[in-house]
Amino acid sequence: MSGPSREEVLEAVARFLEEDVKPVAKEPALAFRVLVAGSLLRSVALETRDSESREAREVASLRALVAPHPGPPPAARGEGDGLRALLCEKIRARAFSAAELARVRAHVRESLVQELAYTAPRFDTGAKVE
Amino acid sequence: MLALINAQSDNPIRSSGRRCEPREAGPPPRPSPRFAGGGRYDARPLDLDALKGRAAAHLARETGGSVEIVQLAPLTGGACQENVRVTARFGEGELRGGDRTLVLRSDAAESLPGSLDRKAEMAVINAAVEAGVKTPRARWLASGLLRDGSFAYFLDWVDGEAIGRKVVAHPSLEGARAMLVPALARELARIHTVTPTTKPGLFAQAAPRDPAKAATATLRAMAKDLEPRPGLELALAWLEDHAPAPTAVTLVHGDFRTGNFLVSPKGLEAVLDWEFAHWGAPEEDLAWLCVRDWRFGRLDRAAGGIGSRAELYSAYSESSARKVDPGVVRWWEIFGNARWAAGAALQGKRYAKTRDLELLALARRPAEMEFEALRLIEVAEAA
Repeated sequence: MSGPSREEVLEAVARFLEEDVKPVAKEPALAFRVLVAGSLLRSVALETRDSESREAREVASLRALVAPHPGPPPAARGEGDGLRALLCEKIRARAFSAAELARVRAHVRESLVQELAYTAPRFDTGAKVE
Repeated sequence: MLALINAQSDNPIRSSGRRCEPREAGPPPRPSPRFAGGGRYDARPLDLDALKGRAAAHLARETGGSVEIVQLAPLTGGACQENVRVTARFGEGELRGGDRTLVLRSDAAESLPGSLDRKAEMAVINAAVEAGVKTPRARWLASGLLRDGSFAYFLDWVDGEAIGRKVVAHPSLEGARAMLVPALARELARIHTVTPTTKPGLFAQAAPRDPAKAATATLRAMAKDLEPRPGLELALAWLEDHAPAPTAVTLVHGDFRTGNFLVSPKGLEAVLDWEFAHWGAPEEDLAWLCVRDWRFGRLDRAAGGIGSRAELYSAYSESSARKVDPGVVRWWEIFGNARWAAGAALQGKRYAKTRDLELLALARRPAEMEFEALRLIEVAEAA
């Protein structure tokens, strides 16, 4: 595809809001909302980066946990949603052995780390927390 | 009530409960929603001139004297309710003699799920005042003052700082912080002296016999409205399988955390925001104060980013004569994270009604609380 990527467009609009609009937004509540809007766009821009390969990795991991059989290449977004729903059902049903549950937890932790990388990049997943 | 309540942060990524508070990470959340089922009132913008007249007439009726409203200033910091700073000049009557600054606190156009309305909140506040809790008493209940069908009441203005990142780090509050955890523990102990026996009928809902099981069941029901989230599901299953036996059933503030109390260089000035109060387990309040999200970057200080967990438990035990079981508090801390994750996820659904961008930002935050809940589960299992 020629031209700017989705990530570049989102970043550009975020920059416009933060650098051009915010300084002239005199009303504090409006200025604050402008910053919130910019922050949201940056988060979505980060989410856009490598989203397909990230989803493919998660789907592959989910399949191994809840549907361990050969299937089509993990591409469709809908498959991830379906597998996540199935994983939730199995957790709710206490369907996993202790060893399986350990693998489920490792998968969920890794998925959360991936999600935090774009929703809360400053959230320190390795922080020492009392 | 809150001198700096409407100060605006220049960084929305680190904004929080009171719209403007700095946080460890993530876009701006709101005060924690508890359960499903918010209400809705007339959402048209306030007509301040008309409100001046209505407020003056209401205060005059209630105090038996003449009242002039000198100034009205909407406060933007209260993210859930609609708060207006009111400067009123009282003539004769109960409050004769000069100007007073008050906060008019009204049901918002769109209430948060699970929050009390102002009539019910006023009853809770006044029960807390009777119990000796440091919180401004609520007076002069009104119906339809700000919006048709909504309740409102007045509080005395209290100066102080509530913005979380300032409470945990501002140099001017260093001395106050040194004595803050014991002060907070004392207030919690006072809150928890109010029980279904001493105040029957305080809430419309009966007190649960088993607060942990009841709270988990409510959270389970709340999660049914969400897209499947394996992190929340793991936390919920663990909570259901490890619910502690009930220790006591008391008044629970429900949102007792940094950001919801006022601090000045003299120390703790007031406990605020009672809208999530309910009958429950006292450990719930202790745990909520320790939830990672309310430490405002001071992860080493478990008690609200201010002090240590040991200091909190010790001071609370001394003030309340209740022994604190750290395992029970940890269970409630995991619950608090799970509830906050579910609450944040639900906020996105409210955007269509409110067009409030902060709700969309909040709806992208559940992973933070899920991660912390799972971390705490590992800690609990290793203990």
